[in-house]
Amino acid sequence: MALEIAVASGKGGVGKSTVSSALAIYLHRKDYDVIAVDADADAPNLHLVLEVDKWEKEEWFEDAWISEIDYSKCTNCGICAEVCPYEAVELTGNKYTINPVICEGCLTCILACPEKAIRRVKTGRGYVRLAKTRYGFPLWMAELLPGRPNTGKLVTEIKNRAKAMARENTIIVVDSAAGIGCQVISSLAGANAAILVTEPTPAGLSDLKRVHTIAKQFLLPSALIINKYDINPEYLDKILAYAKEENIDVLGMIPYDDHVPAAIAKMKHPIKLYPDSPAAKALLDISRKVENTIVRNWREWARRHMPRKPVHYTPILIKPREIGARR
Amino acid sequence: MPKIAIASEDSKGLDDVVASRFARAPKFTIVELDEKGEVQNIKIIDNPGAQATGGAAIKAIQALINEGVDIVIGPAFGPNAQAVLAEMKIKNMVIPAGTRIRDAIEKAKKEYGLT
Repeated sequence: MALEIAVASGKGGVGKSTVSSALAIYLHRKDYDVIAVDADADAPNLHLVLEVDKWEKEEWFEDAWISEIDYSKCTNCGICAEVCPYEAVELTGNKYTINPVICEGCLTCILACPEKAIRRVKTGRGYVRLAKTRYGFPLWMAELLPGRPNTGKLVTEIKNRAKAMARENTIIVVDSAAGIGCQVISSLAGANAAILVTEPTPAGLSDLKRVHTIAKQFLLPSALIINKYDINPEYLDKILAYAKEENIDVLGMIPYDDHVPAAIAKMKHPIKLYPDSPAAKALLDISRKVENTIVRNWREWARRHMPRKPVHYTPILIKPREIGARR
Repeated sequence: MPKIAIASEDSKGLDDVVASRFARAPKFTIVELDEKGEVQNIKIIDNPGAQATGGAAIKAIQALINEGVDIVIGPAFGPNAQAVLAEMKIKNMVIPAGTRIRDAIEKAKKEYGLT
């Protein structure tokens, strides 16, 4: 089976895409069969740094439902506006309209409408795209339309496409979204290893803990990369202590380096444009370590860093507002 | 008669394998055991969670509850799955992806003393 490595971070802007693209480029240079997957559907950007000129494939992903009012039957009674849990029904002028960006397709208005004047219609959520990068390996990406709800299904779709293309020894590098939402859950589910990226800041530490909790729930062995490690020694120590306590494999640390934003501003990867810069060297060292441990010796590595027990999740229950209580 | 549901890659029954994930597994293989722990009935259902835009585990487990399942088997359970399984007090067991359904059932029988 192909080896699926998910790169996640909790906090945004800590260097997930820089790390995952460096890893993909490095492994491809070392003659591994690599497929990159950009699972950050809200703001996909791997194609920029991997220099994609054109998409080989672009599919409209139409999988969601929203409500639509049939004005030949509508009596403008406003019950739909009262029951909608998302406040998607608005009074435009003197007519009730459903805002398609806010509507989640939950059917409440359809059930409540006394005139049966509301129906369900299909709507698009985003795109699924495939390209060959300048480096030679394929990249799958998902792009969500602005304002559309997060969807793990879109992420699952591109991961399945990558798996269908993969051979026995393929390495699939999944660049996850930030946070711990639906897309991140789908990025981590079914992966073989989680590489977590963080930075030594209070938010970097707290978000690392949150995303690591999800990784543990999926029984994923985790590794850690600390980016911009030299900006805050106090939090660096705290992060290292957490990693030690939680049995996370610390793969390496990347210094703060102006070459990284400079390269990205030119839409090139720092390991290509400034290969001798401190950050590029650290990225290559870390990628080499991933090759020697996770890629070449996954079984042994996973055994050593497997979470001891899955953490139990305490759900936060959000009860929908009582119907008609509003206004 | 306990009913066991296994997150499955396909619809090959006992020769199929445990899927790589639970909530978005393509199928569920549901087996019913008799008093001796022998497999009596095999039913394969589509997993509605696989098509869900969000909250996949909730839809998947709802379908399993509708089928009257007592024990759920998957390769790991995510945050939503764990919350719902705990809330509904459904027994669940982690068995690695790629394990044959046949072997997974044997493991569950041993774990829950169903032989």
